[in-house]
Amino acid sequence: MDRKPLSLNVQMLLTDGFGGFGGIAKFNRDFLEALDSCPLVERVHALPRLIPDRFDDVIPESIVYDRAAARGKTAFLRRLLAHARNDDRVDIVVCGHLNLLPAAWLCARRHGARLAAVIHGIDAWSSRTFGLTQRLTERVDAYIAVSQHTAGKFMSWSRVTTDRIVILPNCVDLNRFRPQDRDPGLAERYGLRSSKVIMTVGRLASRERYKGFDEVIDILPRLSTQVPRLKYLIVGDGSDRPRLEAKARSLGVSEQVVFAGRISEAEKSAHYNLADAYVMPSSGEGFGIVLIEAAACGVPVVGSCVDGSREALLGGRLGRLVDPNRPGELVDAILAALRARGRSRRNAEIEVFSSDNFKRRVASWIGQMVHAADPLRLC
Amino acid sequence: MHIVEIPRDGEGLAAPMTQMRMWLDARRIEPATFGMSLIAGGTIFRLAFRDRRDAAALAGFYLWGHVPEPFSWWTGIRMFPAGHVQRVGVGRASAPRPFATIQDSYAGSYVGGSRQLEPGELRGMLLDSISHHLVADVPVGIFLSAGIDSNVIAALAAKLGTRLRTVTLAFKEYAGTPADEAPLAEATARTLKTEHVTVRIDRDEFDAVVDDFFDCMDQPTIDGLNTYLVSRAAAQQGLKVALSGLGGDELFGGYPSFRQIPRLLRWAGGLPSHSALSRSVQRALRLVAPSIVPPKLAGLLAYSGDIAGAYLLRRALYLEDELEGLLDETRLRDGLEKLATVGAIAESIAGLQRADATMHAKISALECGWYMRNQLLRDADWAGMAHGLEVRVPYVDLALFERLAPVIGSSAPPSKQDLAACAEPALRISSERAKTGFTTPVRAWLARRPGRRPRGLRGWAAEVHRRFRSLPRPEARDLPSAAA
Repeated sequence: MDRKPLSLNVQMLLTDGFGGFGGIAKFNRDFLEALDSCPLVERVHALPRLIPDRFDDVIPESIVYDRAAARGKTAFLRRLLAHARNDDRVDIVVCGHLNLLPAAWLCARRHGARLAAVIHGIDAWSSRTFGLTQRLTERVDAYIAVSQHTAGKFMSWSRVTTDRIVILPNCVDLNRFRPQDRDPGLAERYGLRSSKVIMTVGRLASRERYKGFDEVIDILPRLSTQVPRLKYLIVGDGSDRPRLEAKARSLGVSEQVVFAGRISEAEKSAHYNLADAYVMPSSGEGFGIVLIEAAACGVPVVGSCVDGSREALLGGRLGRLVDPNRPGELVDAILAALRARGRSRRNAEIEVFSSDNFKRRVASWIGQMVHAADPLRLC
Repeated sequence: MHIVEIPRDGEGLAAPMTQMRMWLDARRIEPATFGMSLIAGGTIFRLAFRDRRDAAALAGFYLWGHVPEPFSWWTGIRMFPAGHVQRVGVGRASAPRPFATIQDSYAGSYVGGSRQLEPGELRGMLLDSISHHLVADVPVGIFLSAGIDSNVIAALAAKLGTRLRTVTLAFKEYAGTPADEAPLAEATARTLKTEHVTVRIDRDEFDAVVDDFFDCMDQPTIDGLNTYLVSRAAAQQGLKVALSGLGGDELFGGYPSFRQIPRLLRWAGGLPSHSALSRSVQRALRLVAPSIVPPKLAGLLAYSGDIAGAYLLRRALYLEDELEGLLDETRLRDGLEKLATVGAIAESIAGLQRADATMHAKISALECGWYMRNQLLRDADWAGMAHGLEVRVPYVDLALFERLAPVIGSSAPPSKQDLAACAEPALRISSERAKTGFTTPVRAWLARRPGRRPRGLRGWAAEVHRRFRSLPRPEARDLPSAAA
């Protein structure tokens, strides 16, 4: 019997994290920070597939962020091989995206490590066309799902049962995302002075189209009649932008729709604070970090009841839930949210998603990965 | 040896500090730190930021097994240079300037002329140092092992007529094996008629103290456990002061480095020029067979070009290019750049190189200035103080050192045999008592985890780092303050 607490070496394969954009990169950064603050963890070797942008974040002390792995597919494989040849102990391999599962499985096999995989959103919702990954899903010791919704969708096509899945909701830095006065410079930049602003943040991807930009633009003519000086601020960029711009023109609301493009992480909080309501009638969110970021800034939120957003909004306690397929519901919810806008207060329940709670959940999960054959439970 | 004097204008806490002087002995019996300090009412409050760990401290820790001077674990706090004095006034401070350095003491012997020991002279020098270190108003104990260093101290202290109390640390696992220090130490104690205690500990006791051991550590280090355990044993005997044989190996050439480094340099001298070629050989060896070729063997060519490299190779826990698997690359690059290790080692004996000193003197200076200063003395300090025990080191004594330096720098430096002879006739130390090293079975204890390969000192270093990472912020757990 071992009497001392074990120390753990973790290897994590991820799509992107530091220098990356979007929810998955954000989750990965938070997850690495949480591993670093977990006393059981000795060291983490993180192999990112991509580093989309240069970054100057301070990498946590126990994390080795293998930048060489992000220099293309061959480089990634070469680094994987180098790690596999290394005799250093690896106790847990974390696969940050199902696309990387074959590689992660091999790493875990090589080191005799336990294998955990993170499932986020649409990446895990439907069966894999690549048969190998599908078969490997059964070989994973533990899954981390960002929401019950994602876990349910995943179980519907894989043979993984609920006892192997833990729910680890995303988190928000409550010190950085907080209610603030509207930044006059930003308001000027987007022409929002003395406007009522509704806002959505997300990728404008023509292949996905689940964020609900279309649904909001569709009802803009109707909303404008009830809310004078209404603007719709879209933050994010992508291939779908020209189509959305054209759509706004054809509906005669191009004056009201403002495309901010992609913004840096540092500017995000100030952007949320421009909004009188955050609106995202999505249909494909695994969780929707942006919802809790907006809520942390004290902005009234309207989210979807048909995807992971429901959990991010705590079943309606952090914001209004609407069915994106019912425009009438959406209009009513937005009008109610705009009326409710009272600055400088945020719902205390947002604490559920604090970084500290996230770290606590990760530490408890790590503890269970070490000790137990017993079922993993987090929330 | 270490005085901090803070004259003040008035009495009240708010009185401004006008001047602070710090004197430190050349080899630092008690280490001091300085840096971002707030000085109020005679107490130094240190401010540090956990979030930004000094890259040099991190890289240095894995390189050496301790945080090398002048860096400390906390960004913004520097170690006060040994053997220096600094004047600090309100709003201004002079640069620290040296009053004694190891290098000068050795180099001086080439100006003043090196010389041989007269018969009985060494014994006289040691008696002088030991008698000074015995001055106390409480009983003074002696850490007694099976080694020459502590046996000579015990024999000479007995000669000085004090009633001696000796403490030996032994491990139950070693009972009846050659690694057991107790039988030889007990024989010495009987001969010298000391009041002797052997404290045997086993894995259960180690498990019980290991958390406290880490709590008491002020900066991460891979050593100190032996001093911690023997100090604990001494404190349990009611002792407040104990003499230790620390420093004997540096002065009397006890380390394997005194033989290995010259051999390495001779061997490498016959090879073509190193640099680029040797680095590629090192990389190739590691690439082809990382698990077969020991990393230090792979680094042999790259580090055997000069004495600084050879010393680093001998003492390093990890070689510089092995660190990339341990630390993130930006931090590592920054850290190694700030450390500039090989350059700093070379600089520390540059004066001896110029004076064309003997290899023995250079190695002794390196062991004193690097290993002893950064590792042994610092560990003896915190590990003793953890139990309220003052560990005194008669071999690390400025007067002794300055008298012995010309001999150490000579062509016939004093050896461990010369040292052993000082104990006669009270104690005959046989050649079997050649350095066995103070070993602890901790490595075995730590390695005995199910399904784990033994990990040795490198695994221990990772464990120390892990423990230090999760420490509370230093504001809550201040460094021991020199002026408090």
